[in-house]
Formats: sequence, C-alpha cells, structure tokens
Amino acid sequence: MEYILETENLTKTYGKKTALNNVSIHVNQGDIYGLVGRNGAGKTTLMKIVCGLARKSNGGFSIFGRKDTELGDVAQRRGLLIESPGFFGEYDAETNLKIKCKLMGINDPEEPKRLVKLIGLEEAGNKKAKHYSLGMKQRLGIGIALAGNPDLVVLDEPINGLDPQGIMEIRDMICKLNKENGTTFLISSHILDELSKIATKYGIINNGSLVEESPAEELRNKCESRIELMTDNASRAIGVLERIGFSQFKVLEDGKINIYEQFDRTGDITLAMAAEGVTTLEIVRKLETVENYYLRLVGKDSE
Amino acid sequence: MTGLLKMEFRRLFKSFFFWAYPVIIVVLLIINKLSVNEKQDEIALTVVLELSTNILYIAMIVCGILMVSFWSKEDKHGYTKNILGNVSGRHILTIVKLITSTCVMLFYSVFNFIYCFVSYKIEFEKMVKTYRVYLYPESADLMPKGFEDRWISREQYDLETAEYFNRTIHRYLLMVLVGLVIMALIVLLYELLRSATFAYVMVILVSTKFIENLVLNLVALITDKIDPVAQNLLFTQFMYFDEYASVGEEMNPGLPLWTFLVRNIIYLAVLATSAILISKKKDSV
Repeated sequence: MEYILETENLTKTYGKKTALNNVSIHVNQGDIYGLVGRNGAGKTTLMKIVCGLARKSNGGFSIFGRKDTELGDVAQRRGLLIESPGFFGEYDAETNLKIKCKLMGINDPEEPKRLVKLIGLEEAGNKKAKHYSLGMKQRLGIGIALAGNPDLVVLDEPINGLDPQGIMEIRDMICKLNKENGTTFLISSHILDELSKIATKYGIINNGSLVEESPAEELRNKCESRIELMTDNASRAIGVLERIGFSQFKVLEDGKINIYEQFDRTGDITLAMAAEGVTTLEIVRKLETVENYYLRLVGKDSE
Repeated sequence: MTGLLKMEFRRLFKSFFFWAYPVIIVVLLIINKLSVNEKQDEIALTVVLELSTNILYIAMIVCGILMVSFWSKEDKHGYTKNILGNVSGRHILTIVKLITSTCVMLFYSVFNFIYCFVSYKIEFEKMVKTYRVYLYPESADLMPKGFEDRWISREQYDLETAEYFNRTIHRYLLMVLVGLVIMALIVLLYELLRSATFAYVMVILVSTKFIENLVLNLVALITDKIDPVAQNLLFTQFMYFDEYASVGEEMNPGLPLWTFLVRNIIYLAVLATSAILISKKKDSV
C-alpha cells in the first residue's frame, strides 16, 4: 500500500540525546492523523523532519511516494504550521497570504481573499498581524499553511490559544477540507479530547519512540470501555444477553458481568432482564476516553 | 524556486530600506548637476574618479546590511519555516539568498555607475571642449618654454584619456565582482552561524577592509613580506591592477585583467558552493 506519508525507522539525535528513535508512521490519503505524546516526546521533531525543517540522523521517510532525498516539486504539496505561526507582523493577513501565494506560484488575486475568509479574519481588515490576538495569529498561521491547497497539511498544536468557538471553527474547517478536498492532515495536540473528535488514525509517541499506531476505530475498541452489570442471577443473565445480541462479555468471580460492546444499549439490557425475570441490581456504563487510554499506555510504557 | 524568488523580490521591492540607497544616489546626482560650474570641472572630475570605486564600499555595506536584515526578519518571524516546508531543502533558500543579494548588489552598482561615470563623461567632454586648446595646443612650438617635450597630439591625448577611462571602468567592474564575492561570503557566514548580529559586524569589518588589514599586518609580522598574500586579497589585489603600482616600498608590474577575473570568479564559486553545502548539512531551523 502506498502511503501519502511514511516514515521508516526515523531517528534524530542531538548530541547524545535521542529525540526520535526508529519511528515508523504510516499516513494514508485522506487521514486526519493525530500525533499524540507528552511535551518533549518527539512530536515536533518528527513533524520538523517530514517538513524539511530538520535533518534526520537515520532512517528515512517518503511523501507522496517520493523519498526524502528526491522530493523535488512534491514539497510544494505540503503545508505546515509548526511551533509558532510564521508571518510578517508589519503586514495584514491578506498581504501575508499574498506573499505565501507568491511563494506557491499562485497569481489569482482572489485566492488570498478566499483564505482570509476561510480562516475567519475578514473583520481584522488592514490591522497589522503583529497586533493580532494569539488566536488570530494562530488562524493566520493555519491560513498560510493552507495556501496553495496542499494535499498534506502538518499542524503542530493548531488550537493553541484559541477560544472554544475558535477551536470549533478550526475543527470544522479541518473536517470540511478533509471531506471536500480530501486533504490529509497530520496534527499534534495535547488536547486529546479535541483531537479524538476528528482524528481517523493515531500515532502515540513517548520518549522518542512510537508506542502505538492504530486507526481511530481500533483505538476506541482498545479503550477499556465497558458496561458493568450486576444481577441476582448471573447464569440466567448471560442467556438474556446472548439472546439480545451480545457476545463480548466476561463474568467475574463476584458474579459481575463486564460487557465490552454496544455501550449505548443499557436500556435494552435492563428491559430484557426485567422481561426474563432477572433483577438488575446495578448497571453502570464506564467509558474510557482516548485520553485515559493514552495515559494508561504511556504510564505502562514509562514503567 | 521561481515562486520563492518572486516572493523574495516582491518583499524586497516593498521594503523602504531597499529604495533608500538608489534614492540617495539620484538625489546626490541631481545636487551635483545643479552645483557644478565650469571652474570646478577639474576638481569635480578628480572627485568623481576617486568616488567611482570608493562608493562601492558604501554599496557593499548598505547591500550587506539590507540583505542580512531581510533574512533575519524571515527567521525571526518564523517565515523561514513556511518557505522550507515548500521547497526540497534549505539549500534552495541559500541559492535564492545568493541570487537576490547578487541582484541587489548589481542593481546598486548600476546606480553607482550612473552616478560616477555618466556624470564623469558629461563633465569630461565639457572640460575637453573648454580647456583642450590651452592644455594641448596644435603644435609643440606653442607649449610653454621647457615643456615642449611634454607635448602630445590631440589624437594621442584623446586616446590616452579614453584608455584611462576604460581602465577606470574595468576597475569599477572588478570592484562589482568583489562586491558579489563579499555578498557570497556574507551568505556563507550567515548560513554558518545563523546570527544576524555576527553577520552585521562581519559586513562592516569586511567591507571596510578591517579584516584584510588585519591579515596583512599579521602576514607582515610573521614573514616580513606581504606580496604573496596581498595580491590575493579582495581589496588589496587592486594595488596590482594598475600598470605599475607601488606595494610597500617596491614597484610592482600590473597583473593582466584576466588574472583578477579568474581569481574572483573562483572565490565566488567556492564561497557560494560552501554556503549551499553547509545549508545542506545543518538543520534548517
């Protein structure tokens, strides 16, 4: 399978310190790839390398099927916002975007205006970018990354400094671009709750190593979410569960049943148990978030 | 790279600092034109000829400072990241730096050329028309007593002055080439240390011959001779450009023009290649 972005045992060392250690990630066309990891885990280093801002020490990567040593024009198909947004403070948003469009070889005068609208900075008018709020600067950085309709957009902590409405707008924008244009995103964020709303694939990095890489669906399944059911008769309860379509469950020693699927059917379970004359003593839905899963995973790894 | 070049030039043209130097030169030219009168012609010509190469030192400093501030602004504002994300490597940015600084240096040199030589030409022709009859009469008999042997024909006079003028232009063009070598050196130093302050200091120290004088003094201190080094240094090499030039206490025969050309082109190529290779070896930001 050909990936839009693939790293192979990517390693980066600064002196004796290893910032990235044999990291291999695989980003498919149309993915919103969430790169997860604590501060200093190596997320930004990985992004910097795939964007050509830092040199790898070992391993390699390919973008759109081209090896890192022979990227050529393919480099133009990526957009990036890494660490802080890069723009010229003495110019307004439109001029900054015009400059980026020039770099991308876009001469359409309407394009910067369209981008200003897309990132919601029309109201800023001629205000110089250096006088923008943190959120506005972040939006401008995203706009600059999106200039030229790149196929791969790398965003490092894109919602930093944004207010809740801004976060929602950026999230919607990413989803829209992903669905309508098929743009692939590689996003890092420490706000996992937000990332989990859009990510289609995750890469979890800890201490420079990739701990896990899996599609969002698979990861959600791996989260130890369950329905804890306590009845007056465990053996009859099992029969009821099987009849109403449950197969993934486990009976514990104290008679408690842990169900690992169809978490939204607690009502059905209660009704079915009552209909069969089984008394439900307790039914609790315990959902583990991706964040909790990550903490559990990284915690384990650290040990 | 074309897009990057377009972007850089667009930013340069929008910069006030970029236009400051040409505007000052044009204003100076206008002031000179308005203030020169016939009696001052000879002095004006001497000043203009002196200025012809000296003004390039100023252009080098202005161009160096402009370019370093331009690059450091890109780095400081984080815009370099946006650029690098869309090119295949930092070396592309270095090539663009070399191209833009070369173009700016050449652009300023054109203004300097107009300032020095166009005004020189106009003034010179005016002077020839006015004074030639008195300075170089029709025959040697008309020369003042005791000066007959110094007489030259008008044709010979025209020929000699034209040769002198050509040599001055060659000297000027060589100096422009040295300017380009210095720009490549500044790009190399900037890529090496990525420090604007260091680059500013180096622009001034190199363009004001401070570094060269330091080298010459050190060489003189150690070897008691400066010739082998002096003729290879960027500014001191001009001491060997004139037909018979004095270097220290000795008179040296001038070196042919092509030796200067070859030497400076080699410097330019080595410095530019080094800058590109260094940018390839280092992390981009």
